[in-house]
Amino acid sequence: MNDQATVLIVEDDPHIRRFVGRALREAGYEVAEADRVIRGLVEAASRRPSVVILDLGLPDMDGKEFVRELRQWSDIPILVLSVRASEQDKIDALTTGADDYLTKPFGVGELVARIKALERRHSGYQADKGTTYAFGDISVDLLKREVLKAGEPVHLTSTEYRLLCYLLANNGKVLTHTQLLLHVWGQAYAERNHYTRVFVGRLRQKLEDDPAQPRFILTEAGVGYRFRH
Amino acid sequence: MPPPASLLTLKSWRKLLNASVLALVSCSVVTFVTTPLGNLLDLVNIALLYLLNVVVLAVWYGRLAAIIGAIFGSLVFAHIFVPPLFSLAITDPSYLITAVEMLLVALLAGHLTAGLGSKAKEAANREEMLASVYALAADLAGAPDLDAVTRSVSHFLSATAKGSNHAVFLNDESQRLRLIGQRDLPADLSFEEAYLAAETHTLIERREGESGSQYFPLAMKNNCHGVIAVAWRERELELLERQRLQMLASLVTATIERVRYADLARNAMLKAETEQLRSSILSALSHDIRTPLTSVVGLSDALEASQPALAPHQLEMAHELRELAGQISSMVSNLLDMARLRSGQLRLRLEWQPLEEVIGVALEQIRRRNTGHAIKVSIPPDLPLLEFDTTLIERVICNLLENAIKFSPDGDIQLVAQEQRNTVAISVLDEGPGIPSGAEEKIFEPFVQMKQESSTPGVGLGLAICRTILTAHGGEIRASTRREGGARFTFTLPKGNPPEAEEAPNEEGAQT
Repeated sequence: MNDQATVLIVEDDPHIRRFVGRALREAGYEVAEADRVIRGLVEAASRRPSVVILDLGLPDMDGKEFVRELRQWSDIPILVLSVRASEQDKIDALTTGADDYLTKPFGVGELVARIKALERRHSGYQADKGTTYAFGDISVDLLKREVLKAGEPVHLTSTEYRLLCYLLANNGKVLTHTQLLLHVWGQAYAERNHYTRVFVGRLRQKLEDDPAQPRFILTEAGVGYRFRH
Repeated sequence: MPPPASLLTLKSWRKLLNASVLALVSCSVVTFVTTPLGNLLDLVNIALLYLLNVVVLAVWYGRLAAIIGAIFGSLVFAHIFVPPLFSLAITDPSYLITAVEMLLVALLAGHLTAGLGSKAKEAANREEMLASVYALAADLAGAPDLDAVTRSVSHFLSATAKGSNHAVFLNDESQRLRLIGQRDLPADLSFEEAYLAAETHTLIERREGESGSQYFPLAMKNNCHGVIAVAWRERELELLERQRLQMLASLVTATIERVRYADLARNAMLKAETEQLRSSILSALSHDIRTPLTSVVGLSDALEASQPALAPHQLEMAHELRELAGQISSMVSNLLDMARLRSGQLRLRLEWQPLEEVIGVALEQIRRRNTGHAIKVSIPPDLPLLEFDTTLIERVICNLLENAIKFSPDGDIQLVAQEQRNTVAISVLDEGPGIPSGAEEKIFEPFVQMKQESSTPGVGLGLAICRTILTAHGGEIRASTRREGGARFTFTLPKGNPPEAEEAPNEEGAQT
């Protein structure tokens, strides 16, 4: 248990638990399982997993209760599983403190990749984030407040720049519209989802090669955005 | 035809004549009986006999006969019995007083007795009316539907308003007045008056000679449920009868309200139950199909990636398995979206957003299924924000792209967005066989496929769900065959008034 990281699966369907568990073991993880919220919390406390996979549709309690409960004493990354067309559930779970989500049905390759990313991000949490970023042909220098694309300076408005910085600082993490609005615009703008959409669109126009098929600033449909490189 | 006034006079003359004949006959009888006894009886006793006659007249034949009897009796008494006999001359003043007293007492007794008689008759009538109305109320209280109400009313009217024609009108669902329970309206009633009564909520009365008709509206608050019409022939409507009809009208109105509200409540309950059943079936489907499907997709994906690597033909099977599982999953999503949209259960999450974003998400979805198709995208950079539900429009674009891939496996696919006057149009073009002519509309119906014998998978829901989604957005979708071959699917979304987006307040930006 010490050299192998543990993943806790909280999911009521045994088939899903089985194939997810198998895929995780193949990827080198220890696996703990729970079929409902209460048992999941007990497992989380006793096994100290490094990542939790949580199904939102559990029989005994709302999955969001699990997130709220766990967040009171732990910052273990939580990956939420949810069905399509329940975007509000995903947003609620992310707002409550979940770190990422995956829509059913999903491929195990994608799942394992997400788990690894969550684990990596969590262990590097305390590490110095650095003051420069480079992705594609773009480089950002936070000290100089400078953004270059293919060596050429890019002019960003203050809002675009703050939005970019916030996305960079949360590399790989889903940020909901509300989170972005609260951080970049402030409390008074929390409901104006079209703001983030307009400004992300402008950022993409300035930074992405093909704004309709972005490589770095990704759309999480109905939920928010994710910066990934 | 004589005018009504002279008719009335004729009638009263006849009444007067009847009363006079009765009074004369009865007085004569009294006189004949009394005359032989004239010497035996005291004058006062003879006077009392005439008085008795007046009371009898008052009891049996009413006030008029009593008055005439009193006057006539006094004259006969004075003439025959009061001395000088057989003369109206009265010599003794005390006899004059007796005669006058007799007249006054006779008048008073006649008046009181006649009043009492008519009161007793009225009381009996009233009692009978109350009994009939009470029976009707009991009848109506148990009426389960409008048919039963109409039956009770007809029964009541034919039992209590004898010799009259009557009709019941009720408003149907479209608030049109309809004759109930009989095919033809009696000739002495008219539809026009019934409409008038229903419209004005007031009692309409028509009179023609000795006949007449009444139209009682069945109205409560601002709602008129119908009209009860009654026609009278050859006589006038008594006050009591009119009261009875008014009571009937208000009883029937209250009953109709009760029956209609009960109907409404029953229907609402039925609808709620149906809705609940539908939504529980939906959520059961959603959960029970999707959960194993998630395992199938996951397992086939794991199979394809399992270590040690599978033999090439096994790998191919695993890959196909995963593809098919993905297709089933997409079909289930279509089916569920369709059911939710049709049942009105799905609320659109409308948000203002750029079109290229949802196109990007859809393309990413298609790309993830690595079909290897090249999709050429052309979106003008300055499109306005549009208001739509991102998950649903993503489904539309995915369905159209999947269709294009299905029917044009080797050709190029284009996705083109264009701003128009009031809308933005998004087209998906392929190089497949195009749409069979005449089928441009039909293919949007559920469960219709472009080629019936086709082996291409799909239950034909994809385009139907696209149309349902766009209709919900106030947009349109059309299909046509391109001149250069291949199909063109174009959908439009209304432009509306997109909101502005402001820069964030405070702090200076990056200076570069």
